[in-house]
Amino acid sequence: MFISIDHVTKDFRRKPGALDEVTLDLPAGMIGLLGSNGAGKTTLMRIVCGIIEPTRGRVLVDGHDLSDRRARRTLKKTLGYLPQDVEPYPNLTPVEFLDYIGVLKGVTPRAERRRQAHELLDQVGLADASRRRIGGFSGGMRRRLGIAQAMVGGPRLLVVDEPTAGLDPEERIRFRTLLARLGGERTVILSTHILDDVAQTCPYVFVLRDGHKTFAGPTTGLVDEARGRTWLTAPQAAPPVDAIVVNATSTTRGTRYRIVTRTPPADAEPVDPSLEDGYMALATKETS
Amino acid sequence: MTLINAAGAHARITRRRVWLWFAIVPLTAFGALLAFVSPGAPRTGDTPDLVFTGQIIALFCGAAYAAAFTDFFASTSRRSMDEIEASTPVAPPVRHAALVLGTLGVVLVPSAVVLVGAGIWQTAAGHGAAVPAAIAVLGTIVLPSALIATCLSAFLGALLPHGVARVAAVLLWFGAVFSTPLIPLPTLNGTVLNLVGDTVAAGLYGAQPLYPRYAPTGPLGLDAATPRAAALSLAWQAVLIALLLTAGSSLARARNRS
Repeated sequence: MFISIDHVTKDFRRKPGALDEVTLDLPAGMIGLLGSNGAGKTTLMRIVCGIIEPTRGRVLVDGHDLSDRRARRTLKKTLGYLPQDVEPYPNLTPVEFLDYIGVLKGVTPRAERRRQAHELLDQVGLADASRRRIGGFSGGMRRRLGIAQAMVGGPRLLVVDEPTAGLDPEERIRFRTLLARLGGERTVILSTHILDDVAQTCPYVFVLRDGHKTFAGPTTGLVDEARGRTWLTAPQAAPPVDAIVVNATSTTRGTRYRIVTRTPPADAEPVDPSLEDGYMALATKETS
Repeated sequence: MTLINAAGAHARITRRRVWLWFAIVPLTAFGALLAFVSPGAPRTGDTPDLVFTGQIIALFCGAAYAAAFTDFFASTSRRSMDEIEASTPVAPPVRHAALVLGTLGVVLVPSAVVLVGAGIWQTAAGHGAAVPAAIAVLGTIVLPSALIATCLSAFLGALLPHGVARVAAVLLWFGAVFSTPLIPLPTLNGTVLNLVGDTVAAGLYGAQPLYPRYAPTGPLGLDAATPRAAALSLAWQAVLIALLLTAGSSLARARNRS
């Protein structure tokens, strides 16, 4: 599936310019969508899913313009979407919930919906909870059920919005592994502000900031934004001025700062950049 | 088929909302008891008795539906369920119709039990067509008024904060259906726009309206107790349901996406 986002702008009454002239071509496979809160990630994903329409610009899926109702309907037949903070109907069991989503996605007959429901619950590790009501599920279990509902009908495009936010480390790693496994055969757009999730799973990434695209390319390319500019300072009392501090480690002799800057202190040593450094370097490049 | 299957899922969700039963079952029982002991009951032992029971139940249960369904649209959006549902190929009118049908299909069960039970009782007493008549009363009097009360509640819930909407919906419902000389306000009772089936009762079943003395005359009045007036009344109720549903769903969508 080939998705092309062409000069897309979205104005809301309370937030004009939520997206501003965003142009992107999305390749197949796992794609990370990075950006701070309010950068426009969720808006862009809702547009790609055909849930809302852009104010200007267009989205083409396999060459079909989503402004056309039939194209939107065709896309939705092959789409799985997991929004942020999903809370499925608490009175249903997971099997009943997935069956309902199967009905909406046009999966027939009932036996096939039930087969898919059990298979997906098995995949996301909820087979043992298949008879329990969703209302009693933990946050992690609800997220896993959320990804299962997105997978009903075998979608070619999977869009997931901050799926690991608020999960404990074990659940996060399990969820990340699951997403990476799903990405093999389809296009998966993973929106997050947890950089580690993207570093571990997405070979391609794009970055939004205040409604504008600031980077699109291989994840290694974003890391390269900080190459030659990432340093670890000697222990000292205060962080260097004119540098972006990525993290800090306390030692008995003071604090060592990991910084991104073009003008490092004399006693700083160069280190290999990470995705976090690249992201911060990009942010400083934009603001400078 | 999608509509029926999706309605089935919503019926299951509604069936498991325990507190709803605590509201609807006592009100239905109260309505049935009131219909049984009321001095205004026709006591003919056939269809007019069923019609009267249906109208009294519709009148009281309407208040329960008006109070219960202010979160009709919001309950899905709060959980991001509206986004998941909007990302599927099923059009919004079909999804909303499934929500309404599934919900109403369940909450009408107590009314159906009372009416069909009364129909069986009448059949045992020698009135042959009582059970089909009870089902007809359920479909033409109880169902439309339940739909209006639910959609009114949903609309107000999309427009106002839920607590305010709940009170407003119940007051509006009673204001629209209770005709009494103690409160000299114009109501819809006794008109072709009647929300608890007076026009339908008179036009289709030859029954007396609930409050004939206060019925206005003229084009909206009950002076034309004909099947045509009954059909007009049902058509009006269908339009009102569609308007409330569309307006409520549009308001809820606009609020979510602004």
